Amino acid sequence: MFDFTDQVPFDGAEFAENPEPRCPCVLLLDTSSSMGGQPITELNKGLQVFKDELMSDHMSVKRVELSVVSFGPVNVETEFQTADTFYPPTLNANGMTPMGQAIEKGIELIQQRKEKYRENGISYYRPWIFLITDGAPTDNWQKAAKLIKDAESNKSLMFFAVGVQGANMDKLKQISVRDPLKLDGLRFRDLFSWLSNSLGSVSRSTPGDSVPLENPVTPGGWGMIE
Amino acid sequence: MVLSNATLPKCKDSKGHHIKAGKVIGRGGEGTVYEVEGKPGIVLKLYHKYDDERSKKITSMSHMKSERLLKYTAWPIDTVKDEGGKIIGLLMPSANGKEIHKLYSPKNRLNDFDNVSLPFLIHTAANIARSFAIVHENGQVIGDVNHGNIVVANDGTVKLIDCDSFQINTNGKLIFCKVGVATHQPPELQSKSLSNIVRTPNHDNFGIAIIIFQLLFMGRHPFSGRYLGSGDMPIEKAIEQHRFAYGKNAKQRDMQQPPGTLPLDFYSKELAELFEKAFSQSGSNNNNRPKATEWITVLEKLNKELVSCPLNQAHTFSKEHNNCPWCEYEGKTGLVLFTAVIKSKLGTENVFQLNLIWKKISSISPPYDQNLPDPFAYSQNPSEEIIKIGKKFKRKKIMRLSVAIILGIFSLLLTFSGGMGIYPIGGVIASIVLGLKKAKDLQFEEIYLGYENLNRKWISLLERWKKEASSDKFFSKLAELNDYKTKYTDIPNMRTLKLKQLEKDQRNRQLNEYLDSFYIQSSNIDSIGPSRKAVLQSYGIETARDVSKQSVLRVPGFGPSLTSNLVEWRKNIEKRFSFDPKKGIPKSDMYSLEKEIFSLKSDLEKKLTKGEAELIYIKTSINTRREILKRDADECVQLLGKAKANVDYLKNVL
Repeated sequence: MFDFTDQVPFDGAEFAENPEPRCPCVLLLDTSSSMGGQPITELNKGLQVFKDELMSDHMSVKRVELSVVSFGPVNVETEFQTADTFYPPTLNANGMTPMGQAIEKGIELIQQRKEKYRENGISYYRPWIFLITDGAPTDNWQKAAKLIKDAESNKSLMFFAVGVQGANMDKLKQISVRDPLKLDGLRFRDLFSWLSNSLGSVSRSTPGDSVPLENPVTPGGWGMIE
Repeated sequence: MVLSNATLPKCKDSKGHHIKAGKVIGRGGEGTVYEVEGKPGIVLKLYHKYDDERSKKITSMSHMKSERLLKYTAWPIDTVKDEGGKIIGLLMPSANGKEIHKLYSPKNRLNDFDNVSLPFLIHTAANIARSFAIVHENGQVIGDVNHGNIVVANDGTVKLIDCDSFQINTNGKLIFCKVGVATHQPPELQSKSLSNIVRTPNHDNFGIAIIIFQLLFMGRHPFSGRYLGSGDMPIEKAIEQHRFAYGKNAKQRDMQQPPGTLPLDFYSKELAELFEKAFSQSGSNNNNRPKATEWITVLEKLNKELVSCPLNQAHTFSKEHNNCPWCEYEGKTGLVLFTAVIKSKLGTENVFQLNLIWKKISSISPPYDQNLPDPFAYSQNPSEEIIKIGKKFKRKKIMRLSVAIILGIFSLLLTFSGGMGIYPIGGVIASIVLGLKKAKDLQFEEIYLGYENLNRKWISLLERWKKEASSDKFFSKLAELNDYKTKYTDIPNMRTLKLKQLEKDQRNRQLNEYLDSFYIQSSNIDSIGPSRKAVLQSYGIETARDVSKQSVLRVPGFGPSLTSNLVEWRKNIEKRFSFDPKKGIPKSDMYSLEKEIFSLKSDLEKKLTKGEAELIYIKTSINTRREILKRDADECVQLLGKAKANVDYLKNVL
């Protein structure tokens, strides 16, 4: 009566231990040379805050999965995992800003992850891509922009762009369907705290629901509109 | 921001008694929950915003309270008003325990609960069914059943919380439940606005079936499965379209249960039928889903029919299985689903046997010493493709060098012939620059980047290996258990020491009593007349017991000589004291000593008994981690060795 003809694939162990629905989130982080010094230090600290905040919410820690991709050049720093096994990488800044390539990579990672979920019968929330940059793409970004528009219009993705001082907000507006936000100073920690809360409210909702997010563009919030 | 309690409004219960808020217990979207000073077991919830309908609801709820309801729910006991008489909150019994999702999820339940076994899960499920039955028997509906508003205590008793969201029927008039978490709402309510809908017990009966399923199927949601159609299939859509992934109609609805999950009839045929009924399309029709009481019967029956695994005491299973399915499951996944309980029967022959337990613990071998392979242990040859690229580089290099030499010679000749002044010198410099230049080729950069990425991945694997797969956890647990063992064997010594201390204390007590019977007032002490006696008295020094050098010196007017008179007086009295051992140690002291020893002993017994399973668990999880990391590492090593050979080869060529 109990037949394991349907073998548990070894990857499946993570889903047997934790079958909760997942909310995958890719962080695309600009590590081009202009981010050097204070900005990259603050960004690294922000990632640590992000982990801690996700860990403190007992639903997020089971449901939110993170992958970090740095660009300048494009590199997958960490693959998808829940906050308890996520060790924030220490990022260094040097190189160009291949934003288009980074976005394509992010979308590809999400596709692969969703495939894994499907195979293992795990439900998932609409994936998030969260881009942080202080410049403008130095590569071809038109294809990436189109991928985002398509994915947003069939509701298979949420794309957010945040510009740090020096970012080309006009370009970001052309890439992102949602209005890009401008980070107030170097308040990465507040930004990640907000992101953790937002993912938290998503992870307490039902896969497929639309969740109202707290507006970061308020007095005291980390976001500004250009 | 934490609001201090000083800013809280003054609260009164419905009879006008003052309610004083204590520590904050929790803060939610609707309100904040406080302890109530002087009323343990009761908590106060103050709402952030006033709501007229809710005020009416909790008022009628507080009138309906009954012992039965309070046993299973955090039902409002009373309303709380501000000074103007407006309802701002409620009083309810506190609910100790953890949210149900912490129990059904294998990821954290072993940390959050003392003992997790199949009988415990079934027992808890039955208790949840009881709580639903009680609410329904009172004519009320829960409405918003979800993973967060059922709390479970360590003994498996449960309480429904957030009762102020229930749908309440007061004399035939309904006050609605306006909320619901979609993963636990029935198909007929999916994608509907809940604010104006009459909820029925049959709706709740869908929610309870989901919760029981999650408890028994290791945290899986019944509507989360492999969807064979195209596109996404979120849970609420699957519910709406009756796509129960484990049901007999799953295939027709393009669903398959996830790989490696328990089949629906794993526990019993009756249980499988209840789930089929609860999640079927016809269940949506009038009252067709199994009622809470039906679940209780089937679950209780199941719990009686379980048998224990001969190998692992943590495992119990339905007697229809020939072999222990959990041994197989845990072996295949590397997970530990249950905590081991070593049953100790009452009686003398079955007392805790330290030697036996310790033998078991010390026979657990540590995780195998394993290292990750060395990616550079043996050198690999560059791949053919790279050799081709290398040849191309070589050709380019030769070309560049020849151009540089020709240009150099040509320019030198021009310079010496003097025909064009010193300008051709530029050509010489250019040739040197060209000759020394390393060919920075884009293709090489790309290959190098690939190598660097692999290298980074390798370093992170090494770090993870150190962090996640080292044997340290195992050895520190073993050391901890060894410490318990030492403490346990030392208990008789400790008891003797404590008894001696009590005897010593007893002597002091008798001495103090004796000294207390000598009053300064009625004694003759050198140079201490009535006025000095009065001064001493006003400083609290009345009997021989109160006399000491320090205490007397502090009194104004008492110098060293007067002080020493008093101290001498006390010493003389003390000499005459004799200890009467027959008076013995007071019973209450003996009792608390024995109680302390007993609780220490049983605590250590519990820890040591649990220790075996914990140690095995730690070992298994270390080995599992290692296996996963090792597999990644093997793949990485292969690629990295190759990549390094490639890069080294090209560097030589450039």
